[in-house]
Amino acid sequence: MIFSKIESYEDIIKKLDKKDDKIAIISCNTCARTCGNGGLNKLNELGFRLIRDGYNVTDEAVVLYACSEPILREAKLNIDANTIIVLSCSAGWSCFTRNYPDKKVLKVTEDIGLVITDVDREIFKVIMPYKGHESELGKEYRTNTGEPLVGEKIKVRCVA
Amino acid sequence: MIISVRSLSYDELKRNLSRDDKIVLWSCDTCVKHCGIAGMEKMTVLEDMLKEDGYNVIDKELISESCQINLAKKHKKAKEDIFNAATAIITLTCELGYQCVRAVFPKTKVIGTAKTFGSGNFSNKKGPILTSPLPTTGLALDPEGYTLNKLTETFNLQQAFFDADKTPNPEKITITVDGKPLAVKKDANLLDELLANRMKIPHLCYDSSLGSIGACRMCLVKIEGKRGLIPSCCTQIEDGMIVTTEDEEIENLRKSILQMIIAECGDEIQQSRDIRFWLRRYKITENRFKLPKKDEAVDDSDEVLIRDPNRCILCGRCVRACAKLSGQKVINFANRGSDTVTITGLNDPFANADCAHCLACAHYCPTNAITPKAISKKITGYPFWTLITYPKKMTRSTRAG
Repeated sequence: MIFSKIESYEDIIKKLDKKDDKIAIISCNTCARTCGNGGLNKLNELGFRLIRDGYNVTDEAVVLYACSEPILREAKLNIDANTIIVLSCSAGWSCFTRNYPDKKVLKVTEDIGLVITDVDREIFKVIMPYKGHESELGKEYRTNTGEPLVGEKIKVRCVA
Repeated sequence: MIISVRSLSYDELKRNLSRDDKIVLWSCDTCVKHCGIAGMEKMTVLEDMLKEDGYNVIDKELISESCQINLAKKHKKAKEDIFNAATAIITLTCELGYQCVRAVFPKTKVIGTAKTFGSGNFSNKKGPILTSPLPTTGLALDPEGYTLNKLTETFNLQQAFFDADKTPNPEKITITVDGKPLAVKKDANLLDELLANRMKIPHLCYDSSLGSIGACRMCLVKIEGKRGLIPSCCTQIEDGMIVTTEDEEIENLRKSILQMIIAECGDEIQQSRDIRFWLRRYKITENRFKLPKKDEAVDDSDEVLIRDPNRCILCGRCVRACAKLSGQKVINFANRGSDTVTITGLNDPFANADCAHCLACAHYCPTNAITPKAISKKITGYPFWTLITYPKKMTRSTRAG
């Protein structure tokens, strides 16, 4: 699985134009949901905040994988917006960038690393970190929320 | 998806093994399968190659998501005797899956076969592509992506699967199918070999990754010397077998089964690709059966999966996928005979059934009775309750969707 962290709400709205942007929010329901940055809950949270603050949100969608073109085709998204916020890892952002070249696709997450999960104990652990996040190697988080955990619960060799 | 490329040649793999090793092949069924270096088919190819070279492969283990360490532990528990006897495990997984297997089997020799490069996409034009490389690759983030060929060239890794190094040559025998001779693998599953030879045999309950239970009766064939119609998915090939896969009686039977499925499950089941294909193939436009249509509640309690019992044809694929691939046993059969149904947990809503969301059930369901949740909605305004939650900065009157 891929662990990404979402930017703060303030950083996201800096990239948006209240007047001209018609916004679609697309949320990934696999890795991003497991790591607490996607799924329906995060989509609703961001959607409500943006609408409350006067942004023009026109479309919302949850897709199984944001990184798969066959899944995007199956989802038959009919996006009227000119700006897309993708709540997924950068692979999902890349997929939307390629498939919607006429729209502004905003990257609002940063990849932290590749992780293994223990869904029974609701933990995931960073095994292969991305550039700039080497200090995250071996760190553990709570699934679905991304809350950091203290101590090592999954004993697995990490790859620097 | 995570992008991985094969890092070992077949000769290097053999150098890591000894003739005395009792080998288990372990493969992931998700990302790495789409990278073309894992899955049940690839495991079977590698098993044939190793056996031909005199190695002792004692089992094959397919896991729905190898980076879930809890699933790996459950697989170990389910086949404790086999894993206790094994002296080597060859992993057809990404490096994450490899580390999980090493952690779960600390006393067994574990051989990884793939190098993981980072995350990427499955592109309709290019197949799997790497878009977000790990720092060890020295590559930059690129939405257009790096193809697997480019990665194998740049990093001097192995192209495709092990059979690119050496083609396996399992022992073949000849059988007769619809009056024509056909060379097939000895002792193999009849349906597998018919499908491998590009013959169109309808089947709803069978998948080579899940094994056979002969539930749907769609793959029935006639075999000379055997009484009645035989499910080809449950038949082992024998030398000199004479098989009939298509005649009027078989066609009528398959049509009847399809008509009964539609009568019971409703027209919506025609949205399933498999059912639609066979309806067209057999030119079925009318239904002579009038059965009471199922009328059960759709379970959308889970955040990832939706289960529609009305579309379930009791093929058991989800039950077997959940038990064999994820090791979870969240989905099961309940009751007996005509009262049989599939249930989640102890007949709980899906959300309360301890599902690991490996998606194996949805992937293998032939009728879309279990599907991933996909929500797409147009936003036209606030719902009433948000007027209460956010009264001060409200800009529109309602929100619906």
